[in-house]
Amino acid sequence: MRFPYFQLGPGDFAPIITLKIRGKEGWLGVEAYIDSGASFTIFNVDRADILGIDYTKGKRIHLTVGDGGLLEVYILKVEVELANMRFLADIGFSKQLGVGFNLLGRKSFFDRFQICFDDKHRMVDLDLLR
Amino acid sequence: MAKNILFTKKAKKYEGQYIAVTKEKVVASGRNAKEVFQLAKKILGSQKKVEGVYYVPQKKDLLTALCVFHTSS
Repeated sequence: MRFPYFQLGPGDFAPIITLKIRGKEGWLGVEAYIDSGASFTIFNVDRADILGIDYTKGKRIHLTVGDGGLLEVYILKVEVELANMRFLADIGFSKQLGVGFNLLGRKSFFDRFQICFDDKHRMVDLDLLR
Repeated sequence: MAKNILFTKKAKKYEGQYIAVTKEKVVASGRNAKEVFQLAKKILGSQKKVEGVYYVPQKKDLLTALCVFHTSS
């Protein structure tokens, strides 16, 4: 499935896509930057709160970010829908995510989809791995 | 190809904000995702659901190193 890059300005594009996550409140569409350098998918805790997901029940870990700082993250299994596929994914929730958008990292996603960045055509392809 | 209102010109005026979306329409917007969701729920009432809450990225958001590595538990 092809997803267009998000246009931030003239000549500026980024692989930001949409997916759905499920909580007690049902399904909710969210955005995420596909970050092949991230070990985990990390959402801001506000999305967990909206969906009634008690993220504090997840496994607490610390992740190192680019400047060497540590990010406290709670990882738990959450049902997601991406590219017409529904599956359980390890999602990290953090209060300290310093960007407005969520990050879609390798665990549960790059091992399920072949993800191909096509910067020339500003598209990202997600193909289910068999 | 996947399409979403986030990728339309309509969303551009909300750069740096969160938008709550239902039926491809922006129902509420603001700087706090939870407040935007609650406001949208109030506006929509019990008949319709908030289908998505999206952050509309702005150019300065990408001047960030996004790499995150697992280090400790």
